[in-house]
Amino acid sequence: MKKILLYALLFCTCFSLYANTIKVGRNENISTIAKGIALAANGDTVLVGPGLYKEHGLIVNKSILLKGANNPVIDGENKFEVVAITVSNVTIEGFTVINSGSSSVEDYAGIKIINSKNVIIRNNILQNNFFGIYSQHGTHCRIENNRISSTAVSEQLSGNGIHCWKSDSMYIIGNKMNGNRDGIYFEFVTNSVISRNESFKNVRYGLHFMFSNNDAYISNLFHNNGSGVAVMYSHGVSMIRNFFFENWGDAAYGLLLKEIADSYIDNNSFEKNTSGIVMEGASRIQVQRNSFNRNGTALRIQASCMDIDIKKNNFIGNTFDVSTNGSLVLNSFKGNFWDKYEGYDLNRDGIGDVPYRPVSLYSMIIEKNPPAMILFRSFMSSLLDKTERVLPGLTPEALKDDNPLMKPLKL
Amino acid sequence: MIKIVKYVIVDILRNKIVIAYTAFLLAISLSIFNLEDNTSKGLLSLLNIILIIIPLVSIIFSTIYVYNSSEFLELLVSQPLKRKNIWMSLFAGLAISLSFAFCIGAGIPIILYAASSTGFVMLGMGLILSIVFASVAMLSAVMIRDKAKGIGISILLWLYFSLLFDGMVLFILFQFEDYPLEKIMVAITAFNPIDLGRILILLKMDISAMMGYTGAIFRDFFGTGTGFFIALLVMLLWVAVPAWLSVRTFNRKDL
Amino acid sequence: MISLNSCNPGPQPIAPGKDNCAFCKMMVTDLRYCSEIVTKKGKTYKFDDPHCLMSFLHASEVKQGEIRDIYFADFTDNRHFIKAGEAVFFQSDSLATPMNGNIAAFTNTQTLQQAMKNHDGKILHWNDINK
Repeated sequence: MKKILLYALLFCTCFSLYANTIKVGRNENISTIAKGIALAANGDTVLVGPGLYKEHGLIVNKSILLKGANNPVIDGENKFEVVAITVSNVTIEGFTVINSGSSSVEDYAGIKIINSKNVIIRNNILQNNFFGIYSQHGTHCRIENNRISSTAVSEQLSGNGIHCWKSDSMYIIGNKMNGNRDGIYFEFVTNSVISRNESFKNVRYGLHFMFSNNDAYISNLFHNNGSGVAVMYSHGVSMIRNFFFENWGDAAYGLLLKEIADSYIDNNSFEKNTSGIVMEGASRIQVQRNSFNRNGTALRIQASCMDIDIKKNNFIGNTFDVSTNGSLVLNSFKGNFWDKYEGYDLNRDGIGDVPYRPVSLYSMIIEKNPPAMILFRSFMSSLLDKTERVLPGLTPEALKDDNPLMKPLKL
Repeated sequence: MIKIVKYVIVDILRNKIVIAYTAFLLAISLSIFNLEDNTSKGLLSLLNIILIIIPLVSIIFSTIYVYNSSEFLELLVSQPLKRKNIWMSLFAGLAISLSFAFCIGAGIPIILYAASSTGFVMLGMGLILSIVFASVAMLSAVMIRDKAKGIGISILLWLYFSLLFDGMVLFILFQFEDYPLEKIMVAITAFNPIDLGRILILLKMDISAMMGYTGAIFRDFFGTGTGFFIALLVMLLWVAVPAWLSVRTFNRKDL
Repeated sequence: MISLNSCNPGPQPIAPGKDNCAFCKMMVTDLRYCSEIVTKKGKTYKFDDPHCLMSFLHASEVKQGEIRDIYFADFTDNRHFIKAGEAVFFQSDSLATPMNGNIAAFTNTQTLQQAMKNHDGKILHWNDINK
């Protein structure tokens, strides 16, 4: 037994002895990264010194650690891909990758992962690339602490900050992205985690999910994006402790759910969005312990939604609390705090004695007939709301909170 | 003519209702700005006041004033003065004193607390609305001889502009739901000075984002220099047309 | 002027970054795959992907009889709209459309082949798509 261990130890040390470090730089023998990679064997480290490397179309086809010392810059000169990874077990860290090409048919990226496993991309700066980091058929990859920025203009073609396509078990942690089309884009990605990222001022969405099941995004910051965060055609998505704020514009929202099922929206904060959450075709979703502050409309639930549980949330300072376009209500509201609640609590148990109806008549009119928005803030609209509140008749009878709280929850 | 205007203004100030109105506006605006924690919210609350109170006070006060000065008018008509000048001086006196009241009552708080472009648009719209409704009041007062009936008509007109018109718009919107009405709505607002004023003010506020697609179309129109100019022109027409009609009627009227 | 404008039966221009898809509610950013339905009464519905237009038709949110025309953006000239019946379509996985419809429209087969010569795919017509 001891012998085997000894042999194993010996083998390991031998192996690590073979793991060379290849230095690339101005003052070294090897002056290009491509040459450095060509000379490296699996398990080696390619250490790149500071400076500007005008090398587009770099292909990492060996399992190496590609490390930049003092932020060397790889410039794609607006042509083609900058770096592509085609094998597993690669780590890239400490680079500044700039100016990938852009195209209407090819998705050129700053760093692209192609059909690989266990790739780590961390502590890089990506600027002005078509796509920042692109994973296609990647599995068990970590994209960590990268700073991705671009100057996307809505008129032109623009790519996404982190784009994952048909990937699995991705860990997207602590990145910061702005100025892309979508900050993070997931299409056919499963079992992945997005955490502690900040995505802001992107042209379209801060985060965009399409056909991506069983993922979680936790503790992210999404603000000032073109229209917020969109989660579409997916199921099993957990959205926990995120901040959605200042997504303010004609059709903007904090969070859009389209055809989503079996998901959790827990402990998030929605502040100053034109609409906090918009749901269409969503079902079996738990919306709990979120706070909705100062949004235009806190929740927009289309009649196509069912089994949405809205429990223990705070609604404070929103122009409209809830709006809907139908009368059939298959969703439940329970134990929320509504600052517009005017009821009383005789037995002092903290729960209001009369139910609260969060849907105002005027908000329903707008949902059915959007041009009616021209009567926004008119005497007519406030009168309609006042009468409906006193004599409910047109708003959905079942859409009410039977246990409205008297005091806001501590969230 | 200036003499008559001066006399009218002094007379209006003497009867204290305008002073009370000024004090009321001032008290309300100041308390709104002090109660609300941010100015944009304060402006929003003030918007309701401007759109409801200003037209109401303007139209009713003006109508009553015109009826009450019927003896004074008869006296002036017997003098060698043009009827047109007499009537216009009366209108000018009313418009100036109501605008003055608004400027002090709401203008000073707006400049103190919210001297932004929104504030100034609101100030401008309040001023124009004061004058528009004084002008409409002149028309209804000259058309109807009976005082009680005239005041009734004025109240109805106010109700029409602030409520019934919007109700009709809502009815049209639902009746013709299948048609693209967004652009036609821009034209329809021109038929109601209160709606026009409200939309011009709302578009200046960040809350206009809530108006969605409809708001975007309005912004495309009113946001441009030409659009704003046209809107302003329409507002001025709302002052000029009733005033001109009332002058015409007054010229032919048998006092 | 205003009323004339709104009664104009042709396709309305789509503003990227401003208009939303009438079906999936996504903001339109890529003009190449846009399409529109114009009703007989002059209402326009805009879509970001042919797939959304088809789903919208299948959901019968607008009845067949009320549709005046269906338009698709020309892949090679995004501001130009082609009537559905006159367009030639190309279906290929190398087109990454916003909603995975993976279909683009062209004015004729020549421009299609020129633009797509390096890509595998199927040439389709409106009748093939509209089933």
